Amino acid sequence: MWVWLHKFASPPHCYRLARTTRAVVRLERIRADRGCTLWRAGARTPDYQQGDAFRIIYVHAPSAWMSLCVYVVMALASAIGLIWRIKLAHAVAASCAPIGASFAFCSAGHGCPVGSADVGHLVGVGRTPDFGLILLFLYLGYIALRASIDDLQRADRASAVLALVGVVNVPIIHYSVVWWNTLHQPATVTKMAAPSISTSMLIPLLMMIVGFTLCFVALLLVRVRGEVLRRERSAGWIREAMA
Amino acid sequence: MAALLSSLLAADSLLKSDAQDGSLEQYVLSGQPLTWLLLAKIAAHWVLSGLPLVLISPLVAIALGVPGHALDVVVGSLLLGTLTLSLLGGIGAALTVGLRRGSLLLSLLVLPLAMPLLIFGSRAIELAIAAEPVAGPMYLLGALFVLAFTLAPLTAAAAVRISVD
Repeated sequence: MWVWLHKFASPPHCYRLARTTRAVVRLERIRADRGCTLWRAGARTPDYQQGDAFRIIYVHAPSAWMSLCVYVVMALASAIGLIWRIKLAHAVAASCAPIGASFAFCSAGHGCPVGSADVGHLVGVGRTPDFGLILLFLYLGYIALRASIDDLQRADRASAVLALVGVVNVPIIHYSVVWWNTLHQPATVTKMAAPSISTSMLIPLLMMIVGFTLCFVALLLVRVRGEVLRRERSAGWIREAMA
Repeated sequence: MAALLSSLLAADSLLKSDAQDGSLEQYVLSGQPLTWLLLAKIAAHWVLSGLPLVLISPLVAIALGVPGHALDVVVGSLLLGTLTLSLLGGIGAALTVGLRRGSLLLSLLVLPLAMPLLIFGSRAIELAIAAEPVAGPMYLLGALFVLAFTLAPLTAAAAVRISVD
């Protein structure tokens, strides 16, 4: 009954599955991104408060969202790997980290100009450029810990523990940073309550988030294939697959 | 005050990783519960590094011109903050104990986790200096300490087992 589930833990099966699903995901991602771009080009009027600066939101909010989402995926994969000792889950977690780090870098990168343009407040996320930076440090610590342990199994398990510690702390860090920033500036609190986002901006934003998520899935599938190849390089099935 | 806490962080990491080099395998092999051993280890480390800071903080605060009514908040927030930092440092040290460049990595691992402590600690002290109620940040610091106190020794024990075997 559970055979279909257990098959996902087998590297050869996953390797083949990743190859077939990747094409589908890539197609959908291109469709979502293009839809957003078209919509955005259609709504050419700049915002009356912020001019063209609000357009940063189409990149900033999805990348901030994805950097959190990738961390949760990474921690889930680490927990699965740690509890049921599934090697493939560790491979997934390892391939999540660089993707998440680049998303966090993106969100921290535009967070700084965004903070001055007050774009973040439109969706009520508050001023969180600092949070993107902290998340980036969490990812970098994970990658550095993994890289500095030579033995693969030990590296897997140690970094899995770190990912779990991190995911317990992520909501705490998030709220502490948000409270810190908003408590210091009473103006932002009133600003957050007043303007809610209009539909013409919300729909392309949601499409962009879908596009980013699919982009992450596509990248993850590619990286997992690479990781599986690297880890199983001496296995027989790879030689058969390559032949 | 935030600078004081962050300077503590650096000192924390170095002491911890040095202290754990030799006898760690004996702890694992001794048959005693590793969680309690590590908790004792962390407590001893806190007595050496955190407690003096807490004791000396009223003097430093007076030297920095903090008003008298804020002194108990300074001491209390530093007490909770240093305890939690020692516990977090324990996890980090346990993860990096077998590594050559451990101390640098350790500060990278612990710094993001210690961020809420710095924020709430400095917030409590600011409020106290302005003679406003400080219960909110102090409760949050206490909650963070309880969370770290219950989970950190377990996590550190798991990490030590991974690092040693």
